[in-house]
Amino acid sequence: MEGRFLIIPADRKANMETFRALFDQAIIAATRSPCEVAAQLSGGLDSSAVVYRASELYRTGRLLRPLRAETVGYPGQTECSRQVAAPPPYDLDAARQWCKQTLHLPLTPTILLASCQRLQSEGVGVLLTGEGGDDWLAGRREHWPDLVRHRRWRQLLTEGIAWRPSVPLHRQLKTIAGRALGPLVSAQQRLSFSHKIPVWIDAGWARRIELQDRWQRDSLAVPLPSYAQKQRFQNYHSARRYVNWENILAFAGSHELELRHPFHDLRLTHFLMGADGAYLRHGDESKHLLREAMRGTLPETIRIREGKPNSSPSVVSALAEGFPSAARANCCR
Amino acid sequence: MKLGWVDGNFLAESYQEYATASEAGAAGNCPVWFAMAMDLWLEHAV
Repeated sequence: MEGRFLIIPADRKANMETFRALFDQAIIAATRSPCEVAAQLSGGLDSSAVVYRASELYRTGRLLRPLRAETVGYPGQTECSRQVAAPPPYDLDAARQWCKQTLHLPLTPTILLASCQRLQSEGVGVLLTGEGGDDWLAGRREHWPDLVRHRRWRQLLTEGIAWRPSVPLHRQLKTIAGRALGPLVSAQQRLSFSHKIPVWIDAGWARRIELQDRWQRDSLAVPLPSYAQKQRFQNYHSARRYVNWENILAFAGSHELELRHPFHDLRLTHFLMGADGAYLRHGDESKHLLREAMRGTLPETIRIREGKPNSSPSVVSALAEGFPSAARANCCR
Repeated sequence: MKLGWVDGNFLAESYQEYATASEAGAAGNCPVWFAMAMDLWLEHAV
């Protein structure tokens, strides 16, 4: 993907219109299938945008079939309108067997894991996800070093101060300088988040096996004109794809289910690779572009929400019983 | 935790913080899943 392929609208209004048109195109393309198509609905902004916009497209005749939404509830999910039974405990033996048979990492208990077998039995062949929304649309200020390179000081200061207006000015300036200048002068700070070693991995072990170098060597060098674009492109080629996706794709495939991600549509990707960072985040509001595009489509409670219920507490609780003693035993070795 | 790839001390501390936060009704996160997943995988991959 070279710079000449990027779609870069002229202004904020054109930006929004282009995004809407490409998002519609992505949903329409992703729902083409001779099988029944479902969409995984986590309750967050991204998957809700796919489901609600697909519903509008069906009502206006641009989709031939309605999209079926697939969701599960977790304990403690207070906004869930119906009571849900506690899910079965995580089956470690089944996970162990999966690893043995496939040499893939075990799967976290997601909507997919809970639903795959049933979707297959009901003839669903394609499952849409909201994957990519966090990667492309969050607006992580990765464009700030580009503002320095192009001497767009006014925009940098305006965005920096609007980010956390309640923080004292001297701390704001320090943060702006760190985020905008750091990656330009420090190789360590230029590292994509996907290449940084998580704090819970033993530092000595990581050094011994040259983990960071191996992750960096694994990344794909593509000539892109800006720092922001280089960072965004890492989403397609990060080391964590082995953990996040390859095992899930294998599991879905074993149930004859194809996963499709409208936010990873190639035309939408070209647009989002070229998008001005100032449009992706507005002050402290992440996913500004998506939220504005979904005005009138999503219920306001979903459109403005920042988080969503997730399975993490359930997973941790399910594993907790045996964990502390195991951790203590290992850290004393 | 097999092969010493994970920092057990950090994980134990992280879990204690998570458990304390959960008891107080606050949201928390703990990388216990990643350690468990890698351990399961390593049983067969090495």
